[in-house]
Amino acid sequence: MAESAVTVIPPVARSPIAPVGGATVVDGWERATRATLAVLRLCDLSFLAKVQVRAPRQGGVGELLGVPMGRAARQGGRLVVGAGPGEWLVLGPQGQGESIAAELGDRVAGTGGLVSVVDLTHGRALMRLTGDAAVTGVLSKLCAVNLSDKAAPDGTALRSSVASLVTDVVRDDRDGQRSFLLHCERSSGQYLFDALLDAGADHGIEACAADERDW
Amino acid sequence: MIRIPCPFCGPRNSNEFAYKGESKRRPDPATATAEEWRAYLYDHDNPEGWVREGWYHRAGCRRYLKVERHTLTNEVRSAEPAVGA
Amino acid sequence: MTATMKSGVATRRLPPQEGEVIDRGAALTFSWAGHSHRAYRGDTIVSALLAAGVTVFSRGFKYHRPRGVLSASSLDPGCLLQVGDEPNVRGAHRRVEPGMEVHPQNVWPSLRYDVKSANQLVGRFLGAGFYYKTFMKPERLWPAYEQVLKRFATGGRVSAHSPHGYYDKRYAHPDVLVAGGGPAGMAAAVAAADAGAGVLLVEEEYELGGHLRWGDATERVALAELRAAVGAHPGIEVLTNSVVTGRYDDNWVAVLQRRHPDVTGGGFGPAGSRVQERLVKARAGALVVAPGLVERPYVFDGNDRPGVMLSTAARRLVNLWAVKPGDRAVVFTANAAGDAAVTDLQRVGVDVARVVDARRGGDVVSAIGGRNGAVAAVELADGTKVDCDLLVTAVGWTAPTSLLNMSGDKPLYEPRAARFLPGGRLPDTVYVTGGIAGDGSLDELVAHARAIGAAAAAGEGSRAAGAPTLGVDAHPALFKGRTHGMVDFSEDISSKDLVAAAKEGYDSIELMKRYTTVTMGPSQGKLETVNAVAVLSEATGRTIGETGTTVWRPPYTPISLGAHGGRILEPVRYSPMQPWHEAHGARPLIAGQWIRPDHYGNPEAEVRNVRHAVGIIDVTPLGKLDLRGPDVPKLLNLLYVNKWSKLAIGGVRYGVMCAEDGVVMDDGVTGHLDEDHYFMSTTTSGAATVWEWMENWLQTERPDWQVHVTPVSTAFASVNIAGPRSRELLGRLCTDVELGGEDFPYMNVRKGTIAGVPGCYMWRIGFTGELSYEIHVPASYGLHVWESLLRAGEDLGVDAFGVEAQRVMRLEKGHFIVSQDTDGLTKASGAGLDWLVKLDKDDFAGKPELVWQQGERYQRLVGLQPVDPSVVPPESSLIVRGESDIVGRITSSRRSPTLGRAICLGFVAPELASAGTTVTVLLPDKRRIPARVMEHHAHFDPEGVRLRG
Repeated sequence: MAESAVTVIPPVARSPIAPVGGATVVDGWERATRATLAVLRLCDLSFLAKVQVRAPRQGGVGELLGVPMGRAARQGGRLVVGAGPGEWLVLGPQGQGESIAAELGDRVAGTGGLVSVVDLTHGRALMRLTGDAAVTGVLSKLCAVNLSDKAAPDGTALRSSVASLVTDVVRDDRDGQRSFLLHCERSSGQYLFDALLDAGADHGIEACAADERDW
Repeated sequence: MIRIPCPFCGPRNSNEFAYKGESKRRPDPATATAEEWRAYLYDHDNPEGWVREGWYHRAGCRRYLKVERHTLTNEVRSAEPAVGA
Repeated sequence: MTATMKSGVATRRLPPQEGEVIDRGAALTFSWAGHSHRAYRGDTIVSALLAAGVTVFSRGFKYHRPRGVLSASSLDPGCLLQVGDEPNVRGAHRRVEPGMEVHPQNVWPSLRYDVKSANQLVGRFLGAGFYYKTFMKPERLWPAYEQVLKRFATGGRVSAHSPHGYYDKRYAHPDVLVAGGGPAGMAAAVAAADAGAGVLLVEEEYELGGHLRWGDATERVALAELRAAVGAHPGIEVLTNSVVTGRYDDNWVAVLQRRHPDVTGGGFGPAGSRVQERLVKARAGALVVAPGLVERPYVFDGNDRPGVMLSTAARRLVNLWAVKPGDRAVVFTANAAGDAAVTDLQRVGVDVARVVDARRGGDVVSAIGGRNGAVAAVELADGTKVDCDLLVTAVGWTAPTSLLNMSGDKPLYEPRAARFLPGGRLPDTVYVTGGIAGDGSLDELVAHARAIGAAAAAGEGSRAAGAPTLGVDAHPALFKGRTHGMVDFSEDISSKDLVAAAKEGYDSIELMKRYTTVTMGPSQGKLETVNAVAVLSEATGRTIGETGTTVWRPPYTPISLGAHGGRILEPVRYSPMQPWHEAHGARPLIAGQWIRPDHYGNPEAEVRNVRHAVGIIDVTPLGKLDLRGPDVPKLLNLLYVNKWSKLAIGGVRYGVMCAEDGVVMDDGVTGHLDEDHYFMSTTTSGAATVWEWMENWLQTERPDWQVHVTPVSTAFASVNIAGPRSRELLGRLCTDVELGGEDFPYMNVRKGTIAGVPGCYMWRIGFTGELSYEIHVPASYGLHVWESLLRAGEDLGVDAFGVEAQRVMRLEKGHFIVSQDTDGLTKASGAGLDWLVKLDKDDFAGKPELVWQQGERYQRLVGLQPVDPSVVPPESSLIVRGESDIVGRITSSRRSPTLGRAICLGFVAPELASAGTTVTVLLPDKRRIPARVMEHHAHFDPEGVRLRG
């Protein structure tokens, strides 16, 4: 083993989205600080754990996770998203990516066929858009899929192009307010965040720090 | 813009998909002659009427689909997973 | 008149009218040709100018005759104006805004003294097909012709300094989209919404109502009722000042929504919105086409003089904007609209000198011009001449069937009604109602529209048995009178031109259209097409039905380029270290979607630092794929040209992929991380392609193989640490992996902790030719690790280097770059990859072609050095033999700071590929320089001593 010749400062994890209102560090993650009273809010949730599960489309894992493609459901402290055919996305609290992946790995092992669990916490960006009817208005400027209340009620999950970027869109209302999670490739997180702010400018959108309501 | 009725995602605009051309069988590389192989690579029937073609749902489920489309009316009469439904 | 214009007094403004849309409490000022004028909110530019006594707004495109108001609507061909820096504004539609600066266009030097009107005298040279005839030969004069043609070109000025507008885009998903907000459109929308449908109602004008807006008291009552019903319905979204511009496959409908100067909200946006125009892309369950009818001009001598206008124009001016269109009028009428114009004009004090009734054989022969070319008298068929300053015509209607054409219908001519009607070949999801569908009383039309709206909401299908029909009323067929006149007011094409074209053999309507450009101007044939068809029919002795009509294609109305472009949505990708690059003066390099540091000021110094000490480069954009499953080795064997079965855990191998045509597609290294777990890197640009290529094989050809591919390009921040002191530097931050040469040899991979971050992959590979480690760290910690490396290696001389330095070092080492040193035709063999291709494998992508490549003699990729070490031939310089025989090209070239000379990679003909051959490079400045073919691709340390460290 090589000798460590220098003092290493504790690692800080950073989101691909620049923290709004200045940064603070919460449990090893850099976080935004800006608070807002705006009705239409956009916040970065990239610090949450994001784990991908893949398995045969019609196999044991689907029954085990209990969420079909196109739907999302809360299970304990997690949100399980049926992201694609034989593909699930499990979102969980900050810092639990590895433990969720390990626990899921144990649970799905031996359900038949090839099963894989990959912790993508550091590989994807995640953000939440919350507000009134304007939420649908903002998304309708960027996404060709019908995301109205009728077509995409709470618990809807789909993948499509948002601002020309492949994005998982999950309707996940908070406290009775319309809310969507948007999940994309990490490197384009800032781009998608900015595109949402631009599309929401006429609706008075504000970027802010995530708080308990957002998770 | 035509819509492709994706068997997994439902009807979506065609610009979510990558067009992969007319469906063809890859000849056995061990026995194919150069003519057969190059016909596979480069020759396209391009008929007026129904064609079977491959579309990849790049911005959606990321499945390769077999789609039946009418080249004159752009009507799509079926779309299914490339292999095994 | 001049004096009143300057004082801005509205001489032609009438007392308040019942249906007027102007707000007399809100006066504003604007300017026209530099003179200040007053207007009321609600005025169009043209209504305000007419009220101020202005009658001429432009000059004809070819003959430069003065033009006034014809239709007083957005179609008005004589009212295209320049507003500020915006050209071609529809002056009879665009509302006046305070401070607007309006100018005429297509006039030189001024509206009143137009030099080009001399063209009237030389009209015979500007007849049908004049472009083709006059400017044909000699070809060497084309530049001169262009100058002449440019001066005739219609249109205003475009400024290079205009501020960039903000154009919006939006998707919509109405169950029913109604095109046209007249009585039928409103009734259809209400009926559809009553049935539970979500409705989008689109109206071109600023308000709903169609012709009811300029109608009589009964019509105004009906209008109020319909508007109230629409307004009260939460299921209807109304877009005004908006046009359905096209209908495409599967009811994909484009709507252009324009800014509404007097109204905020209304579906457009809040006050102060930046948005100028918005393109709405709607996927409509059902499309209801209800555009109404367009009044058709009459073709006769002088029909384009200012003062000659359609009955709808006169009625709109009087009733909507309270403008008196003339003092003494002759009205030529064939229908109720013309009769209503007589009533309206008389009511507001216009002296109607004569009503000429076409239904009783009356006809106008000529509009005789007076001062400034405006109408001064009318000659009638009975030989009488009547003095007047206004000639109103009401000769019938054109059905604007554009949306029906775009839906696949072929409209049919109905001689009894003297207009085209829907041809009955519409898709089931496209419905028609209102005047375009047939005639009837207002009640009958509204009842029809309600039935259609309900059917559309229920998805019954437009061809369903229950779909109602409307009858048609008889109407005289009046197109061209007994004299020749203007057919196309936009393109300045007369009936005489069309007859001449027919005589020359252009006797089908589609040919005639292209030869004469008739219907190809800004009003796109909505005023002109049927008259052109009628003139051609007469000239050829065929019926209108036999002659047929041209096909109306999208867009229905011109769309600004800004609206087409919409909001700019081009994804951009950044590495986690981007904030550091920006703070340290990195020059950005745009590589596909990625923004990368090209260099930090001095790329040559960056190269020297790597060769002598240690440098770090951000290579996050490298494509990375996580591969899991028992069949991964099979997949690697199938996609790469080399063999993969025996790669041990911890081992790394270089591979090249070829497409099925044997052309080099991508290259990279793949490491065996763990049981059934591999990690593949690809080129930056090839990342998505390789992933799709893998999925293609796994989903179509090899569905039984068990492999999961997950793209992780940006899950890991990637850094290459290169240089003689790289091991020392990494060793200071990595405490759980032994980095020594024997424990961690070249082409191996290890997993460990770097700068306190666990789960990092370290590869001993590199393309700089130095001892180097490529590390992949969880991306959230990328910036932390990058800064830790710089801090830890300060005394070792560590510094960042960019893409340019990397390119130089790669070239020094002779590593080719896919898509820089190869292209879409480069065979593996030509790229010098024969050593890598293993043809004894059973099957792999491209194998048959690679077998046939054996023995073919392709251009070969070689290392090249110019004999003069100071000359760096630009990339893409040709390698030539003799005068013009092209035998190769330079694909990469740089000055090597390490060797102090120019170095290149390039393709040369096979007979020139052996080491020591001298070839001739043709530089862009035509110099020819000698260059030597080298033994290796690598110019520096070809044995790789330094790299194995």
